[in-house]
Amino acid sequence: MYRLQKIDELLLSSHQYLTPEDECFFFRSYTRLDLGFTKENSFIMNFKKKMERKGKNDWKYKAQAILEASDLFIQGTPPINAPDVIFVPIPPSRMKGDPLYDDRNVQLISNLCNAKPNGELREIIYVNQNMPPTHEHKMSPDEMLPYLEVDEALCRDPKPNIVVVDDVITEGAHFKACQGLLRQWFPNSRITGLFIARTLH
Amino acid sequence: MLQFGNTTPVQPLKEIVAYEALWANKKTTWKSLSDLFAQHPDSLPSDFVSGDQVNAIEDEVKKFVFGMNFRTSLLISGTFDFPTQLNDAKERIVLLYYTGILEYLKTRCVAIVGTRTPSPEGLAVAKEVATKLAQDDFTVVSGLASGIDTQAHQSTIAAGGRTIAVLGTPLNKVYPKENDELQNKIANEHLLISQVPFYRYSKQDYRINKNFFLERNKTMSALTEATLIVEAGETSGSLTQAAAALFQKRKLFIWDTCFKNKKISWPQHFAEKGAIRVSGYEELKEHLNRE
Repeated sequence: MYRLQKIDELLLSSHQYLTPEDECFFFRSYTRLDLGFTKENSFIMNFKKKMERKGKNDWKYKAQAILEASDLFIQGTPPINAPDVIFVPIPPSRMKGDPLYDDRNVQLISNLCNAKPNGELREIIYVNQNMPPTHEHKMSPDEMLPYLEVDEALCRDPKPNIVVVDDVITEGAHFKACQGLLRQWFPNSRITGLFIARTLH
Repeated sequence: MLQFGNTTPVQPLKEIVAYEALWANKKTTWKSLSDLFAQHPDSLPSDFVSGDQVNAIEDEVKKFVFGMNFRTSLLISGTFDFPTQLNDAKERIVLLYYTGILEYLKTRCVAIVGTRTPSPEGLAVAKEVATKLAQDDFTVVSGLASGIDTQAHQSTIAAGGRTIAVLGTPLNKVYPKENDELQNKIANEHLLISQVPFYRYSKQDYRINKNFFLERNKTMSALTEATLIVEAGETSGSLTQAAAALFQKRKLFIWDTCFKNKKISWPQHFAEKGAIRVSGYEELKEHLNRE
């Protein structure tokens, strides 16, 4: 079992959109994701492997990476006081139904909630149109908002804790955009972020 | 704090201040800390310090941590990032400071160490081995001291390789001064590591601080799969590393010329305990690639 780390005053300056009030937690650190020389990097790269690789020889590594990440969450987060927590995945850049839609974060939380029977997954936030690829333009939280929608039906029955989940946190733009939306619907809940890894850029 | 399980998430700066506060007590040694955390394996430094102890040094510690021209991060026992290789060390290290590319620790690492006052032949060996290790995709680790260490780092960088410097000073100090530029380069483009507490170091005489150099050698050995001693006198810190390497079940290489120096007896001593005498890079590489 590994201890989570918090992005605190020491680490905050690496994540430009986060503020000292934000509570974001991570398991692992990456200096850069594009280093070719370690298996550690390939774990995250496999987790993020694009859907267009489906059916190819390397596709099995994605499933393995999702299981490995799930295990990290399950081992590292027991016993969550699950009745008090809603897990919300940060949506992928593609719409549901798009051939390249990737539900890796949903799978990760599902595995976690299956292992902790009281955990609740709610896909509250979804994209209403495909987002432009991040390598073309890194969006700020405000620039993301037009792409994000809240499923209001899923906002009933609030709980004290909302945990926003994503694979990696870099500048924190996705987290802040989702946090802002959730805040409107869950004004009295504590909204935190949970990530496999933090990356520096 | 939201409890994810029965363990509290690590707040890095809080643990740094606590670690520094533990060290602010003059009675603290590597052994006392190691014993403390061996008795309480799931603890953090902050479990052992009072609010008063923290308050007494917090501002000064923050000045050290935020006063450098690079970002400091920490590796702390119990987290995923903490290098498990360190558990082979006799005295348990609970916290390391670093800046740079952490992923280097997941590669094959070989230490090259030796005297601060090398012969031209010794420098040539350090240069050749570092260059070839880099070309063969090993990460070259050393201690940023004068002489052999400096040569090992420089030759690795010149060969386009990866290098890690394990300091015997805190991250904010440079020793010797001439290595200022090299240390900055390693911090910004490679990986710089130190276990040495900023605050305690700043309050002690340099003669006492010298002990940190020896502790650094034990850590350097633990972080690597092998150590090569190129050239060293009878009182060199490299010999601390040699003993640590054998204790930690790491490969220990001693360059052939050391055995020919009649003024020293350590090569024979370590050879009898399992060190490997090598006279060329290919021989060293072959040993590295053996199970």
